[in-house]
Amino acid sequence: MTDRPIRVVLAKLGLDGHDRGIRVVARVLRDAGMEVIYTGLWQTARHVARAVADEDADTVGISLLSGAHLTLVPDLIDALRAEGVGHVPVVIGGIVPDGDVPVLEKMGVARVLGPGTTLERIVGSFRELAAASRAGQRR
Amino acid sequence: MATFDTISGREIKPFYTAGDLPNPNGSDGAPGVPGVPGAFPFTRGIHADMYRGRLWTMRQFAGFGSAEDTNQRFRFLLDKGQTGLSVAFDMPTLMGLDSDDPRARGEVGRLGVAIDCAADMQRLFDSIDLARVSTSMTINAPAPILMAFYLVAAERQGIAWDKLGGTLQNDTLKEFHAQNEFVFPPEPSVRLAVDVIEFCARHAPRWHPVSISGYHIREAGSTAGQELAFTLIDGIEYVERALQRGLKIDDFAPRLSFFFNAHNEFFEEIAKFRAARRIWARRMRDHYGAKNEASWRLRFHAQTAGCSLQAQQPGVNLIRVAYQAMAAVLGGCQSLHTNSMDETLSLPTEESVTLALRTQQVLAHETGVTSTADPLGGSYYVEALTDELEKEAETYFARIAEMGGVVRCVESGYFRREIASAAARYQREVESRKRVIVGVNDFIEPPQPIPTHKADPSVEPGQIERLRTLKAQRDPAKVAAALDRIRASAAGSQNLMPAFIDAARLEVTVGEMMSALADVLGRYKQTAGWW
Amino acid sequence: MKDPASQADRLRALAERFRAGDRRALAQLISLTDDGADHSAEIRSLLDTLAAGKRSALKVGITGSAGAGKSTLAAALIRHRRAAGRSVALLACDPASPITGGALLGDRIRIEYDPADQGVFVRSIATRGAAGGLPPNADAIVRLLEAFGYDEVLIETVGAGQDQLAIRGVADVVVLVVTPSAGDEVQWQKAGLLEIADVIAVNKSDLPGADATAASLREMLDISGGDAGRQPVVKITAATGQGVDELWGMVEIARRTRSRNTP
Repeated sequence: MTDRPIRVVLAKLGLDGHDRGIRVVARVLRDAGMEVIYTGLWQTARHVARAVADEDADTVGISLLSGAHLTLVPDLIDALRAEGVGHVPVVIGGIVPDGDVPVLEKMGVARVLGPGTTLERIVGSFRELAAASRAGQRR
Repeated sequence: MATFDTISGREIKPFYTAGDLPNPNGSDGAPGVPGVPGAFPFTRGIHADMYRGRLWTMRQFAGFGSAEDTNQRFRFLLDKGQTGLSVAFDMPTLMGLDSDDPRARGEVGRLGVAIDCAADMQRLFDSIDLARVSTSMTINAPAPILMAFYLVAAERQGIAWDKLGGTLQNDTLKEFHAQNEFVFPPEPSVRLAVDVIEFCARHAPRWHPVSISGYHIREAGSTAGQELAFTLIDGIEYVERALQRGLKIDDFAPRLSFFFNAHNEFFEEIAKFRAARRIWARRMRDHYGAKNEASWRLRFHAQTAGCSLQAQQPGVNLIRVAYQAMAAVLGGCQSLHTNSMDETLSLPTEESVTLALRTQQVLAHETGVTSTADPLGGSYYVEALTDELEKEAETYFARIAEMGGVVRCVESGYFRREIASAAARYQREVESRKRVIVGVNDFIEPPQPIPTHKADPSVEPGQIERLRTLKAQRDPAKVAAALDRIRASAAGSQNLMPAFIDAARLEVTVGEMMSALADVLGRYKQTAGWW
Repeated sequence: MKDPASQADRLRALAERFRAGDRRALAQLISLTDDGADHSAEIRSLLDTLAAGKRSALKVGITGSAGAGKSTLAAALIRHRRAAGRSVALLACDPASPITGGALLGDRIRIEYDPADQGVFVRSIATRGAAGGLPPNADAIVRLLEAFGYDEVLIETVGAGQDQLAIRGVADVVVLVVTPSAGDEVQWQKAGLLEIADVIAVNKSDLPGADATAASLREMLDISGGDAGRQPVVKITAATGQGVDELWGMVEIARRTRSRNTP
């Protein structure tokens, strides 16, 4: 396999417009050599899934500070499956109470990066997940 | 390694002397002396007696769930000694969507209270006398409509509009710079804001129709100087537009209010508040020819910096908040919100919100910082910083004017780019550990979970149900006529407030009114300045 | 290490799904095409079979400097073409960092479409050190989009490259997007941008100076026009869609002119 750059779709799901965090993450992933496709604010689950499919992304990162994750994340997982990209690992960042992390993981979220996650860990997570996702795709 | 520049990147000298003092020519008093509190240019405060006369308003932002849930939290806070109310609306309301809109899914009553119509607003203030309590409403794109709901709720309580005291945030310009809760393009957004300013000047003279906000600009990562400059230039833009409508400066300037961030950098923050007052007073008197002293006085609400709160060791946030609150008080704020220690994790619990309020009470009653006005006045350091910040703001004003003014700079993404580059610089400093953040990049401890607020999952279906019932009970012909009137007013140049108020009386919803407006004004998709 | 047999199998399977109209197969084939040289021969021969018997699409290049409003125009054109019942694909090319190879691809911020709409396809591409702001296999990617059946293919790329001819080689018609700003016309000419364009769109025409910019462009083009006549200059406001209809008319005329002039 060629060492083509990791492709990541980053999106704000739902109505909250707080994008300071996701923009920092976008810059950091770019500086780590990834191709970051940022879809902007106010995305619905179906918009994100469509972007993941058409952009052939290796992973998708969602920022959500609205507290609506328990409703919107299952919508996203369903939408990804409907687009044929249910295998693409989903990373959730933003404000997620500790108690909700296992719930999200059970829904199929690959990783939850809550407040206070270091940028190093964020980059590492996207790298690992992309590698695993590509290996899975090749099999 | 220790750092000797501020979090905004301002270099600090080892010590300051009389040589660093501003006003060497003594324009405001004797050389190096910045005048007295309560007198032009109000660097030292808008009142001579400051907090001896009256403490600041302790105003905690609150809202979640249904109107009834928030009404209960309001009464709880009033019982605990809070002196003003501040409404947090949920995301759908902030974006002008009804609770039953598909885009609102999962967000109804989540981060604030869900208000769809005047009846909801009435329930929100049930058994709270609107003539006696002052209310602040944090809402922007749909602000005129929520104001209309409030006016109708007051009417239904039998209270005349000229008795209402409070503040509507109604500052859409900063949404484009920072918070992204805009709906319409910049030009019509400013028009709507000025409609409220004009309407209140005539019908609700005790109300503050706009709270020109730097808070969110700072939260997005700006420096203190950018926060100061961009907020004041936004304020100047509203003033210009109101003057273009034919209003007289002294008819509305006394009711303009401001909202700043109280961040970690203690002295620089105090200097920022002092500089804001001085710049504003000079503009109002010398540039706009305001005669009424109240027009010269910059009044502001402060909130401690949400972005400074950390998820690690949340108890430490109490300490950060206390210092930030002290900076706001030493800087002469008129009202203050202190964040709760758990706000990076969820909405605050009752325990944490009580502690946040108690922080203000200790400051007011135990520390003695309220005994004299502007206790830091004359400090070589603080006066020098005040002067530097003023100069920095003036430089920005000139640059923005050169680039065609505020609206052009919004469209070109100038504000966003400036803020983003400051945010990136700060982020690098934290990552490289040039800046120590306790519990984050130093003094780290294993995580200890704390109890957090649990959202009630029954709120959303309940609100949707109630809204559907309400919609079904209205006379569709009357609703359609009210919406047509809004479209017609929007297409013309008349003030939209009367059309909103009439529609609110008929229980036309915020989502319906916003869509009618969007039919005429268009929706804005911001594109410039993302990176 | 990749096993050549399994690679061939994979391509065959993708081709099968591609023929059946599976958008995911298109997306994956674009990745393989964009990937690089090691299997480009296989992909190109595959392309010949995929493209066989397919109508050709109208391929429109959109170029101009950063901030001119290329992606806002692309978004407006997508709306315009969908409203006309045409299916449309957009290839949005942005430069990658020469140091890290990473890229921020933000065109989707500006582009809005119904996620259920199968008549739109948007793909962001990072161009790594390629001349002309296009990826080395841009022509193959465009052929894939064409073979998949899109009526129109838009290719958006920054104009400030050493070799602007790249876009000429891929697109039937090239639209240069400029914004009103006094004095820049000479720069555009020096940069050779005016030569490669078939149509020039003066975007943000609500800004002061739009008329002057359009007039001075026309004047400049009249001088250098030659036999083919000068290229049309259209004032648009991509954000509101104003002038986009007229622009598209010019694009169609330019396509007919060019197909007459090129063998």
